[in-house]
Amino acid sequence: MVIINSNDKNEVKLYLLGQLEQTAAERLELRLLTDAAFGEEFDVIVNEITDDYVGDELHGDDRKRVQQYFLRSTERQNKLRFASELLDRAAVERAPARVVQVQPGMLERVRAFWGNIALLTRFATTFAAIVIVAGVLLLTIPGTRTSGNYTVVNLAISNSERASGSEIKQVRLEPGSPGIRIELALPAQVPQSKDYRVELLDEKQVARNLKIEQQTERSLIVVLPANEIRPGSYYVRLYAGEQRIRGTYFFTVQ
Amino acid sequence: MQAFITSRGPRLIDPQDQEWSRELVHSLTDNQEPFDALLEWLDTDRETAGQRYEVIRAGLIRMFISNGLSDAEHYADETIDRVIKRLPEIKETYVGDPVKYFHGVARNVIRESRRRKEVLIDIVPDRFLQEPYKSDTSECLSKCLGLLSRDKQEFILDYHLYKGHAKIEHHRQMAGELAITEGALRTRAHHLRVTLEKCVLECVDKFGRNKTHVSSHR
Repeated sequence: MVIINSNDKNEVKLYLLGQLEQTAAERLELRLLTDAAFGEEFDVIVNEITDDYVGDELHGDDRKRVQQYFLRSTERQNKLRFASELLDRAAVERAPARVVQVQPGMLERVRAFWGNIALLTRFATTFAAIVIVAGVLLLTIPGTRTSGNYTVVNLAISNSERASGSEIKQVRLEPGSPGIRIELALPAQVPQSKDYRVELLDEKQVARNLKIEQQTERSLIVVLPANEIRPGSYYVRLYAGEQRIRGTYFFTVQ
Repeated sequence: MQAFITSRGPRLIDPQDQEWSRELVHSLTDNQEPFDALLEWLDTDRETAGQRYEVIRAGLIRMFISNGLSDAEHYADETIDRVIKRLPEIKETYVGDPVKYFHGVARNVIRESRRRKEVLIDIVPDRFLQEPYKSDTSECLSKCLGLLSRDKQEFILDYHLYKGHAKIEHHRQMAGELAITEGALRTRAHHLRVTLEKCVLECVDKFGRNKTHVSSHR
């Protein structure tokens, strides 16, 4: 298989999206009928476009052209299904094995520093920390009470893209509550990441990112303010860096 | 390899191939001669002619799929059949590369199918990513990955990790680990993906046929 130049590659892309002018398209088709290596490169570009579409890497007009032109034939639709499954499988089964070069986070650095301190110093520091935390709590608790408590909901990821009855957690927002505090349990096989992204979708599939308030090894905590909540079904998707983590969290606000 | 006209169109095949044994029983010996003539038209050397024929057929399939036609293999065979039928008339007078003639016929086939509105428009592809479409593919992918060696399974899944710039970096890292060029990595991944995809699509097709068979007996 030869590596074709960027001009050829661009022409193939335009052809595949139905944007290549007729003379150039005919020239390209004749090459497909005569050059086996070019045919293989053509297939590689078809796969790249399919993968980019599946991975949400195409936007605006390109995405539309893929939907309306590139994916018209049954063969391409079958290819799309295959690519979607292959990419999902790669993310679920191989991401933990490959993500090995993540820089140590703050927690890991504190833990490493802590391990190097003498035992007596550790006790003294722990005692001091408890006293400080207790003081801070005494000062802040009255404020929390006046503004009400967050409604807490713990969610586990579902492998399905659509919720079935038992998977949907019902949430009732108490009057005066400042919002919902959602604890998202991280799937066991997902690698630790420093840059998770939490995406919330409502019933109309309108998506927005939620700020991660707290992150532990096992879970992420996000907060949904009361004034942004309407009754209805919600979906939460998780991303580690640019990689979508397979599965969805579901809940319904009553 | 020998040239045969089969019920699935003209093919260069190995007569020992089990998959084709039934086809060969039904092959029409009357059509063998025109197909031989087509090969001769492509090149006087039979081996080279056979290779040219395979490239033309594969190119026609890519062309039909790209023009939105479903069942591209059928249209490729239809194109070749038309060329075979016209060959006695044009063989002596046609000037130029035979490939251009195939291309012209293929363009006519596309135009005709568009007139018959066989090219789909306004589809909603997102539905193809949803259940239950995915479940068969998922099961078949597991099965087909299981047919690969452990190394190959890990390689093909690793290759398809990440997006954008992270993917480029990741491929560079993989090529380094395997001590091969990035081009060789790409080729290796492509060939493995083609094999895997073929296996999965055949498996899904079998699944579908079995389901239809079961439901028709209910």
